[in-house]
Amino acid sequence: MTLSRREFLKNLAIGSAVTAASQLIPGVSFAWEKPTSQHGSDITWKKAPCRFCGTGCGLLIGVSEGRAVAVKGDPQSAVNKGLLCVKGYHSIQALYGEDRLKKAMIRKNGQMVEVPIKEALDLIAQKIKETIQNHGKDAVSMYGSGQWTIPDGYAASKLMKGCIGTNNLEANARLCMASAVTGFMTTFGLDEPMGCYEDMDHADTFFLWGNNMSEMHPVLFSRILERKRTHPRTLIIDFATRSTRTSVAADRSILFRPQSDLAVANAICYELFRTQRIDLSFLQKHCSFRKGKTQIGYGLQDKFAFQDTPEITNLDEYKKFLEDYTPEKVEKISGVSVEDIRYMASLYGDPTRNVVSYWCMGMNQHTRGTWINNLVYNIHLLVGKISRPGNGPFSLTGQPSACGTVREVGTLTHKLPKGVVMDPKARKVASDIWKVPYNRIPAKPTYDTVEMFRALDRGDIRFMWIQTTNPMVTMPNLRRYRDATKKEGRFIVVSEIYPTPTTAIADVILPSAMWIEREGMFGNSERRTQHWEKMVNPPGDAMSDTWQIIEVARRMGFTKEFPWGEDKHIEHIWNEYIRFHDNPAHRMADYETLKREPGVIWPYVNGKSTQWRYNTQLDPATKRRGGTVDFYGKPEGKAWIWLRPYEAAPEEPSKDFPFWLNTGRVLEHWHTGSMTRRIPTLHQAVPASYVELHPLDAKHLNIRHGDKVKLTSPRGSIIMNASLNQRACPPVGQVFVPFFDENYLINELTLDAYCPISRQPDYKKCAVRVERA
Amino acid sequence: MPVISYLAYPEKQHRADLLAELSAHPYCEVIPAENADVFIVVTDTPDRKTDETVRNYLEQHHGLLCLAMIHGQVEDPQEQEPNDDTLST
Ligand code: SF4
Repeated sequence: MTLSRREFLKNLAIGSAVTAASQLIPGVSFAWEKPTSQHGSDITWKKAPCRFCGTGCGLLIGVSEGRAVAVKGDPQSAVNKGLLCVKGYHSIQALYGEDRLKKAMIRKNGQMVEVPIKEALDLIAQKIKETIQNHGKDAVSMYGSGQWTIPDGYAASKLMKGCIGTNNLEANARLCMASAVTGFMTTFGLDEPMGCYEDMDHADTFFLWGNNMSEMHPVLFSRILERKRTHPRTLIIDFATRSTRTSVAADRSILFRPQSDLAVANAICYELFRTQRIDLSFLQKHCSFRKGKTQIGYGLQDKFAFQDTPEITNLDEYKKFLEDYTPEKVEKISGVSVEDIRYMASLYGDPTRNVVSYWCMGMNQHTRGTWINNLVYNIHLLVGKISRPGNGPFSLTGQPSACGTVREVGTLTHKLPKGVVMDPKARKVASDIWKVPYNRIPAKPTYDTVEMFRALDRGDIRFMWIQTTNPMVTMPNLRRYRDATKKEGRFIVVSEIYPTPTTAIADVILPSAMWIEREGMFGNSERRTQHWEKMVNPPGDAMSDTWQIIEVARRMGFTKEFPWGEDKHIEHIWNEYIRFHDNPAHRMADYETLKREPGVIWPYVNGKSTQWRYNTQLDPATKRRGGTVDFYGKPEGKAWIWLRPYEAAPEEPSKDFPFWLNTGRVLEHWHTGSMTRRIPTLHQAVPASYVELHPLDAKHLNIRHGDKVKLTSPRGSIIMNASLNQRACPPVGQVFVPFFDENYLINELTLDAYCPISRQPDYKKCAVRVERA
Repeated sequence: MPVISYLAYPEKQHRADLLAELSAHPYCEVIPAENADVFIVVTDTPDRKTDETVRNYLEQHHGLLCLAMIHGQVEDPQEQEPNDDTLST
């Protein structure tokens, strides 16, 4: 029998759809018979997590003659059950853009010149050594990414903290999930969600807090829609600052004024008490109360310092605190009606409902990001809807390994692979595993991301190595930090796969191997670690970020710390790394398991993923009995309910700048678009950035769809096309601009204010003027 | 030469019409589930432009509640060796 290639591909496509359907609709049958004989195909399928968002969909990549030629959703993956979004489906095309960086480049007499990669690596090692000699080790820094693989981040941490001996290591995940980390740490004492995506198969009430899930986490949103289709009682509440595709699909869309989510969360808690919907027994057994400092600032000054001091308080004081947040009072602050606040409280408090709250950048990119995370935990703790199937708060991550690499490996200034640098025990563990002198790992954190770029501007930092991220598009108040990189005496290395505004300011460019061109692991939002093998060769001299770091480390004399051969270095790194987490609360799967499985969730104990942490029946790390949960991250086994007030944003609309500016992503593009804008279908779908306005504002300003509009903030201005009544619509008085397009650098307008606890900037709120250009 | 499969959830009242309409479409093949309100739709188009037109048509179809892309063959004919060869099986 012969089968044309086209028929073969068609059968493959149908087979994938049948498998996906049967995962979603158990028992579904189709009148289609799989051809029994398909051998002879020249396509080999291999598993990998998607390169793009933090959902971590499992992909099967078809490789033929050394080239990735096809993609399908992995039906074995518990994340996506065979589904993919448009980005995942087109992901392999990002490998083959015409202007892929294939050679190293060095700036010579102002021009970038191609050089053998060895020469570039030699120069980097030499510059680091010179900088340390002339300015001290804290003048050297590295800025990585939540798109780093786990081995990339681990090698970076070992080099910077263990070998060089500086805490000048940060990653762009500071810009996307630091508030989720500090929220989890302050409430539960341990980072990362207690639940997993399987909550979607058990919940019947989904609260989306400032999360346009239909565009940002489309596969997870499909799972929620599927839950709704099969369980008609299911409700989706979209609580947001603008109307999006998510609002359209939701059962209720509730809009709030920027920053006022803090007040609304407290009002929900007030209502839960008023209507006696509190689970008092849960509260008494598993929670205690804390208050912290208030009027804590916004991190706008250089060398901003803040330290919260938790103070023990009690239930009575908490109830008194909530009296400032009656629905009537909060309606005035938030614009959310008393009726809607009561409705939300009634759903959280309904004992017959299983409730999950999801959020992403809306809550995390917030000058009170830690606080709003704490407040949503408060709601779940008050009603005891947490750490059991279908119930819990869940922060979604934007990047594929913000959790796996940045949070778990700890590629932030204050972190180590286990614990924080301030803790002598954590430093001892790290120095023992790394076999470096204990005193070499500094006990004091240095700079968070914004402060690191400020230090570059001031001259405290002289050398920066940027990998897998594009800060010259993403830094808030961008002009200051771009100018900083151009100052005399700064040396910038950029590891990238395509030319970007960040490679444009580099002194050395290293071509990186991308995703399936090397072996790696990512860790997604639900604590799931996923491994992939190298499937195709990188182009030209391109080299993985891990191997670039190892090459430079060895040139600096750290051969003993990085002794591995190229063929097995990822396996060796993994084996060394998981020694940091060898305990029931965080045990990681071994290398062979990761190679075999489509992904496993940590704590991975006795060959089993732990899907719901803190649950005494399901989590092997729990010790205390006599209750449904054990919040073992806190010494007394209790979660902390925080008294966190509403405080206004640092910059609000004014006479000169009367609009709120909100920034974010669109479905088709990944972050700054450096990959997705090179994928023809995705680029054609959304070829350029735009500004969304409410039609009434547009009418008032005499602006029509497609007209040129000038946006001005106190920091800069930009001219771009107006978008009216398209995929989303902000309320009157607000505008929205996606940041994927390097031709429209919207971050020249945004403000570098941040949450003083998490030090994560707020990209969702600053003030602008809007004019017809 | 994009070949793409979708899961399509029809509006109940439009199921029959939609099935007839998609079955007659030159670039679509439809396989309805025997026991659920879901179709598999496979589009087989000569080039990206046609693929985009067909996808827009599906996405905007008022008879469809939801459309989920499942699988795609993304080879670009210009970038490949002759690829309509015959595979022995
Ligand atoms: S939802 Fe995210 S992880 Fe899944 S395919 Fe799309 S971009 Fe990739």
